[in-house]
Amino acid sequence: MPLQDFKIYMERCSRCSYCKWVPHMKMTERKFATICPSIAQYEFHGWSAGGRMVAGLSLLRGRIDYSDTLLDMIYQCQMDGGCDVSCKNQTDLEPLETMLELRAKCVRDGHVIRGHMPAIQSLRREDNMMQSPKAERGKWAEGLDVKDITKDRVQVLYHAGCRLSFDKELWNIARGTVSLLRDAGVDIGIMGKEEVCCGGRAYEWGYQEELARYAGRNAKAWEASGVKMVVTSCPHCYQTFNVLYDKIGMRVNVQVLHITQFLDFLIKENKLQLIKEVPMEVTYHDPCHLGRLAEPWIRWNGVEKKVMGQLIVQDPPKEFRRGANGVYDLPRDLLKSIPGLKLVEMPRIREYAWCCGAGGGVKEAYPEFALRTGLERMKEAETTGAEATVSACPWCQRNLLDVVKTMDTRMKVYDIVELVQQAL
Amino acid sequence: MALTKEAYRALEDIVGARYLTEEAAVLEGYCFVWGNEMFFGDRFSPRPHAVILPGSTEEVQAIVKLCNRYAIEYKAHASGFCSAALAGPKGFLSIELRRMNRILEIDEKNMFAVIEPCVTAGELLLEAMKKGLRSYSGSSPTSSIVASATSYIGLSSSQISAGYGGRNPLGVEWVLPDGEILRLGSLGTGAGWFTGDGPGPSLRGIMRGHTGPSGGLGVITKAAVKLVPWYGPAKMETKGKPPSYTVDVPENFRVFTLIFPSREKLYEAFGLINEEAIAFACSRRGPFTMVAGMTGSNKEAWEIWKEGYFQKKCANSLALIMDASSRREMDYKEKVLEKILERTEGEMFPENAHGQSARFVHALTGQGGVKGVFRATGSFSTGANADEALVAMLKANEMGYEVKQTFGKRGVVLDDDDPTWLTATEENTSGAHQEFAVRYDPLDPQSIKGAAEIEAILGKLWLEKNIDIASFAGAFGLLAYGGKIHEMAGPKCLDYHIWMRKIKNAFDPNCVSESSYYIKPEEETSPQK
Repeated sequence: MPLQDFKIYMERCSRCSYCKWVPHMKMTERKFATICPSIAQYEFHGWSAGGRMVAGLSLLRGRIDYSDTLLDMIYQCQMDGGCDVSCKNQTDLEPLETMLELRAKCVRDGHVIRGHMPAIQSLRREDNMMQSPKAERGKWAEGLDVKDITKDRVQVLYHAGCRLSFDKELWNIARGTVSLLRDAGVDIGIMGKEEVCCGGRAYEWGYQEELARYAGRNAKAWEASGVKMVVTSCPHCYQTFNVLYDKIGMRVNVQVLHITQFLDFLIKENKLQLIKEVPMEVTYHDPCHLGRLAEPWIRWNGVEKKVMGQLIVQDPPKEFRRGANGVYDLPRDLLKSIPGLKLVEMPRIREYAWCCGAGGGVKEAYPEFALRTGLERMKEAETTGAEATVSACPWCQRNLLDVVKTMDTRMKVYDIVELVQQAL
Repeated sequence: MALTKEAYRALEDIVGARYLTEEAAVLEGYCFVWGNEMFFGDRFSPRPHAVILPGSTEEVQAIVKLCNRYAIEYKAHASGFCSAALAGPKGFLSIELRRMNRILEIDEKNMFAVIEPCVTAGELLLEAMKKGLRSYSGSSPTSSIVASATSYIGLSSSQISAGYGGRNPLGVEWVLPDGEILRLGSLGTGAGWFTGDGPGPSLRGIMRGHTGPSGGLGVITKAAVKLVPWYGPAKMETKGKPPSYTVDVPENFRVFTLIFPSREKLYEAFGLINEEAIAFACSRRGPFTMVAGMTGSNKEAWEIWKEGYFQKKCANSLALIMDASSRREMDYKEKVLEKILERTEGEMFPENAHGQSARFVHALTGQGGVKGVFRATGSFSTGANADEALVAMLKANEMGYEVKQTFGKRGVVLDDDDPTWLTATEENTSGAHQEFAVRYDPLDPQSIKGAAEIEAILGKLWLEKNIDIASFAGAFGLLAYGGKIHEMAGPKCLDYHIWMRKIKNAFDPNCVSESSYYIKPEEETSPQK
């Protein structure tokens, strides 16, 4: 949908500023009452969902033209969707979708962020966002002797995703995942250097064509391999495969699970037993793309009509995605099932969790802002008294690990799989 | 006219480059706001020259002094959630106070909080509840407590038990329009923040009067506001998912929707509830507001509305929330309520936990207002007045209802059957504030026109009938744009507008404190009638 189609939402923003705050009924601590990293960092209203709605409208109406400031305003945002949850707790607007389309318009009009270009060029040349040669994509699995689905038939494909494929410090997560799945008797394979990006992050940055391209390539490859299921450790990939491909009409006929969902299944089927004590108090960080952004896509093709004179309703009725139906409980259940481990919660969790800071192209174009956002999350985690923050996303993991290096803290950052491995 | 380079550099020297901008893309966020279309025929009002974000009183004072030196009009705002906060007939320097958001003190013993302008109602409530206290709620949890206490209206759903905004400020730190700092009340004699009156200058009437100067008389940089006892838990637990979060009503509270066989009976009960001082909050909202507040979407609201149940059952209804410090006190209040219902043939409308939660949360925090008024059509207009004479309010209420219904039936505004709202004020024996909520589509010129016509008709009617002129004149910033309401109402009410203008001119000799929602400094030669 072009930005023009979102004009009704932009025009109806009342500037109530709910998009800047955790839904008020969920506020527990003043210190952690805000939801939007962007306005917290940059202060001016334009750096909020409401402000971007106004900017989009102004651009469409020709009141303003592109400028470096406008682009910063649009792109200094993790697109984490917290604003969308808070706004839509009260309204029938679509701030996040509007912001996505605003970015797409920027790209279509040739106004791009310089800091994004290395990753985008890498995607176009090397099929990954990590500026690494595609030939090195499968190196993380060297020595694992895992099946290659381009040669072998397997039931389950493990899709590592760009971050885990090329971030050496995180290779242990991908390797550990494959090992524990194999140990659980899962017939698993990988695509090695043939694996390609999901296209989701580029889409989030406004490069919508890339999503369609990679949706087609992934669908074709999976179909050809005959896999029944795709499992990924990356919430971005999970959200892209399940939500964004569906959104653009390219849903694949393969079940895609996040690793936490698959581990939960294996535990319930008694194929994995968590028996060793892991005496640790941890807090769980909800990745945005596994939580509020992972809510299934709801297709709606209709029009607005008015009843009661002026009441705006959609015909046919529209279900809004309000962020509550992401994957929230399974990772927590998984952690709670580890003997000796105690889970304590941060003030901002689930659909109103504070972002790690890495999303929306911020880590690539505005690294300091990414770190500041992550720092706030780690400080929030520290208030729980936990020894470690656990996430289930390599992008969160990367940013939070980078943050911890700048802090004077004893707190550790783990991927959930690392703790599961300790409990086996 | 844009700022001169010299003026811009001087402002930059005060706050630093990071907190000042004249970038068009950024300024757009400061001229687009609820209500603009009613005055400017567009969602956008004229763009500000620049936006500046001071971080302290000293910076505000330096900015204001500089504005006087360079003849730059300025207006400060907190959350910026209404036309009066951001708009004017021409550009000015917009001072956003969001960096001034500290809770400086919560004095448990003397029950007040000292806060900066951008502490929101929701934030103060969170902190006060931990100490067994609460503040009045303001119009929404994102609204600024200081703004509503000192500068703009200050109506609140729980005002009967916590006071409306105008009754709440104690010591106040005020950067006057010319840059001088004035400390009101006990603060003025160095005796602390505990009272807004003596020892020290007691100028609340000048600072805000009944409803505040809407940014037209300098900048309030700190204020102490009253706190009242809170009988609920230190933290509220919430269940459910968005958009249907639910809280359990705490055990020391009761939430009722009361229904009556006629408007007359409802009014009688409303008066008695006020008189008996049993309410934490008491208001008439009307069936559509009830339905909107308890549903997650327009679709859901429409599904319920089509059934006709709420219109039939709750046409004459009151939402009543009661709190008590003890079981015994609650028993007493429940018995009083029982008697009132017997006398007025009232009944308790059976509401589920979700409905009760919606009423309770709205009374406590103001949350639900956006659902209740913006979601349905995109915007709403309102005219409000408040008076110690309930009977005047009821008259205004009846008139408002009739006029609104006429336009509703024509379909230009929402045909919602809602009567005008009525909320008890702290003048327990007889007072109330009333508002007519006209929900209109800000994208539909006919709808905007309809809403504006309703306001104009009602304004004229109230004026003709001499209903509550004093508060009507300043009661709602939307109506006050351009000061025209004052020109109309002043001659009927002791020429108060002349005094108001004198105050404006005396305090703002260089006419730099933008006052299009307060009163024009120069005299109107041909007042609009």
